Amino acid sequence: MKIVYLILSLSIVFFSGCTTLTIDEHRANEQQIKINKDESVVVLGRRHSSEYETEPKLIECVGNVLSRGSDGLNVVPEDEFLDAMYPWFEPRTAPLKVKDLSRFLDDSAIEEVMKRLNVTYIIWIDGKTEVTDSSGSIGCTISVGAAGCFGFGTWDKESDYEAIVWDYRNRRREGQLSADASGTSYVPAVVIPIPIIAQVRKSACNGMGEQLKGFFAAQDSTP
Amino acid sequence: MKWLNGHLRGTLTKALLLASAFLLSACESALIVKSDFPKPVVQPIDITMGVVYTDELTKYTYSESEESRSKWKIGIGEAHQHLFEQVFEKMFTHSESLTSLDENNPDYDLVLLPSINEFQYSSPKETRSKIYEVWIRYNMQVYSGNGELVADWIMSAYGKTPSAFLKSREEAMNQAIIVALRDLGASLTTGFARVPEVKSWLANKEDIRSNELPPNSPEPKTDTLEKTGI
Repeated sequence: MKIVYLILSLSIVFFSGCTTLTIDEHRANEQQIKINKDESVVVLGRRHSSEYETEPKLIECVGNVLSRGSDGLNVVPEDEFLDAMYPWFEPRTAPLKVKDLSRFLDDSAIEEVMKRLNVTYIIWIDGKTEVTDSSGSIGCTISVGAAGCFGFGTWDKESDYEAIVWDYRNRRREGQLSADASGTSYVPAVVIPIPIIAQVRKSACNGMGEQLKGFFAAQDSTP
Repeated sequence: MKWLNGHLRGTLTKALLLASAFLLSACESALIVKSDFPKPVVQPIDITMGVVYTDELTKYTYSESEESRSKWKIGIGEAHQHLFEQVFEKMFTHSESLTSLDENNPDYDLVLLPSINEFQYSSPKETRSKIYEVWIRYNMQVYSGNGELVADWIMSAYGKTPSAFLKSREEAMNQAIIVALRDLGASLTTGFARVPEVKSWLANKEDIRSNELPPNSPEPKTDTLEKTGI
């Protein structure tokens, strides 16, 4: 009987809550963007709003999705790019429109850094993941020789992100996509609380990363 | 039974003492902000700048005095000096550190005296957003080499914890202050030459330089201000 309980418990642990994901995309051209294998892209989070902050973990996650596999792109880490280009991509100084790039990228010192990093496309991500609703309660008791929890908790999470691809050399917007993900997590507790977590942000990250990857076609460097 | 009661009482006292010590330490936080700051990518302004790092600045420590708030002690002076050194090294063709403001500094075109006017923060308990927010207000004074006040203005910097999932509140506060300091560095780099009095002083200096040039010499470079003051 104990073994059955153990198997049941473990199988529940490995379940994760359901997540739904919707992605809409718009491209300036139907064809994929040709990018040389020695060229790089950078994924940056928008941080100019005082209400929220695009999470650095989400940016890192999208970068990892873009760079993985045989068709992966060279992705410059966000921190490295921000430090190398300081202070031109800080929350208060970052260009909000693609045409704003010409304000400072014609500067020879800045141009030199961009050449060194070999960044040809900048991907901006703006948005957040938040808990939208929660209910239920779990009570735990500890006494001499025994401890346990009882109850049920649930919460909903929603991710809402927008990604925009800028062609740095031609100061042009190449496309954009939006990703909306939502999911409900549960924690039933009968003696032991068993969390069944909906990976909402991770789902948005994977969806956006794969879709963005489809924008590009890596090719061998042209002489 | 007596022994058991005594033993229980002793254990209980120890537990209570430990719990109260833990609760007290949870309310007190000491932090000395430390971080590496990048050097800005910028066309340097062709002047020799002296920067005064007073003890008030380099040893600036914020101590929370309100009873209802956590007892923070935050040392931000050292981090400010480090940021200024990184930024000014690239902002001006020559920059040197000074410890006090002398009336006469003929070796320098300008002398900058930065000071912290005010430090404020909000905690997750107050904003219910799981992050710390920090506002710092500065007074910047620029003097000419002969001690005349050229410009005097107020600057502010803002920063918030980039992630709601940091390990400790000290780390979360540290991150918020680093973001604020980077914001200060960005404002200085992009805004220094746009301060009206500084702009006019730099334009005058440029005029004097071009008048001093011999008649057949090449045209002086006049785009430094435009490129710096975006």
